[in-house]
Amino acid sequence: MGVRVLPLQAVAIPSTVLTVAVLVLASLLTAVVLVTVGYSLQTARRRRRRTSIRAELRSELLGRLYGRDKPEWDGWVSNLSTIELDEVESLLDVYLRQLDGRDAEQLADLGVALGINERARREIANGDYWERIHALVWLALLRDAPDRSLLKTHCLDTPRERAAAARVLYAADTPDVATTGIDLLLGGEPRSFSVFGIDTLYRVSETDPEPLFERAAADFNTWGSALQQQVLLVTQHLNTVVGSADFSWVVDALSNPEPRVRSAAWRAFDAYGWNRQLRADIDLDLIGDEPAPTVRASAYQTLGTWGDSEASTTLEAAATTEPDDRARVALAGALFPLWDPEDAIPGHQERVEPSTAIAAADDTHVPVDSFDAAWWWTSEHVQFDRLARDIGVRATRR
Amino acid sequence: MTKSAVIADDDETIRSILQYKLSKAGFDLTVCHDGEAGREALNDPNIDPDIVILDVMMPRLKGTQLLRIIRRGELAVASDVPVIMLTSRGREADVLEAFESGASEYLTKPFSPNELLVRIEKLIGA
Repeated sequence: MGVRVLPLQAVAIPSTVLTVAVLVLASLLTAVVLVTVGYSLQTARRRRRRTSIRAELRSELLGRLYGRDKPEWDGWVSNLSTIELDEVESLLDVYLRQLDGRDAEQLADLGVALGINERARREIANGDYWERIHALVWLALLRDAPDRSLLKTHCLDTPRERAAAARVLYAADTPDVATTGIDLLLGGEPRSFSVFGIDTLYRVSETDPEPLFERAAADFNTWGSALQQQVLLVTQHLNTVVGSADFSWVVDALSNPEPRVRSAAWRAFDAYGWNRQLRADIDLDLIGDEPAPTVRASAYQTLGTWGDSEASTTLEAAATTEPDDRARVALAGALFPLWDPEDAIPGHQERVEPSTAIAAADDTHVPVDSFDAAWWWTSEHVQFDRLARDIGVRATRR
Repeated sequence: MTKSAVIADDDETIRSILQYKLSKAGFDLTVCHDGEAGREALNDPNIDPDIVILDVMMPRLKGTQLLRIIRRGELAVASDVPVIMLTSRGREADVLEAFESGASEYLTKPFSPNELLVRIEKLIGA
């Protein structure tokens, strides 16, 4: 079916119509300009007024906090206007984020005087998602943990909400922060977290990691690989000793199909080099059979952290066989702190001067032992790092 | 004898807290809004602080850089003046970097102003 194109035709518009149209457009434009300018002026005036009010309220708030034995918040807030109450709440938000200790406790009483804690509980029970998040932030700032059933009933929809709920318990330093915190974060069908969630997982487990380890031992294989990696990352940084913890899930994760999980599993053992029983369960031959260089690099770093003779021997053996450049650098970095400068560098019977190895590494036509290049690169890096940090030496040289 | 302190922090909230708390404790204060202003204040021979309080992350000059400049004796202020780092950066590497740069104390935000005062008094022997 063909398309028929019609020729353009000129249409004569009466001048009266044009004049009216121009007048209407000009009027509209003028109205828009007037409304915009008026609104801007009003907003600027309101902002100036708020800035002035805020400065007065800030001064009064700090004066009551630091200048009196008792701040007497109730009497103060009962005489404030709506705008002033709004500004005080905003100031309270700012100061609670910066203060700790007795001052923060006294400021939290201001939140109670403003009714924020009760409002937050209502919002968690009846509010929408963003209202609940907002309410949880306030409760964390006020260090005020609500009833646990309120959190478990209304705050499990998303990883962000789970983390915000657990954060309230952490901020309030409740005795059940580890157990209930792990229930909130990893109960049901959890998904991977944002950085905030990972940090919260670490914080709730920091002093008592057992609930996390028990949950992981039971559920690790049901989680997605991103969450598995995150839990292993947190485990790596938990240095609270739990001698009797079940780490079979971490040992199993060394054979996980996902390289990033295997890599995180190796690093999770960083703090457990002392645990002979656990180390007996770790097959170091896995490193030689590992196809992913990033995973081997993680394994080398963990062995370097253990730093005993068994780990050192394994690393020295790998120095002669490691085929990947980046993994070699990780290997050299792990071995260097364990190395005695009087000894030959790993893989050599005699000492090799740095200049020889570096010159060979720079010359692409000369065959070079790549581990030597990685070794001397690491050596230089460590030396310059020490020099940069040695304030005393530099001050003396001046 | 009046004690004096130099504060360098780009956060108005922190400055207001420190001003209130240290003024109440009898300190004469020089308050700076960034690291470079702090460097200028500490290079002023008329300002001889008993204590210096620095934020780490500040515009124009980082607190740890300023601390290294102080410790190297490049400013008019005594190179061994007690310096407290007050920062939201609480990772082990940050704390170690600050102490390696010559910090006398390291406090992380949120912080307790009462604890800060006790540490100041301990450092200056008040």
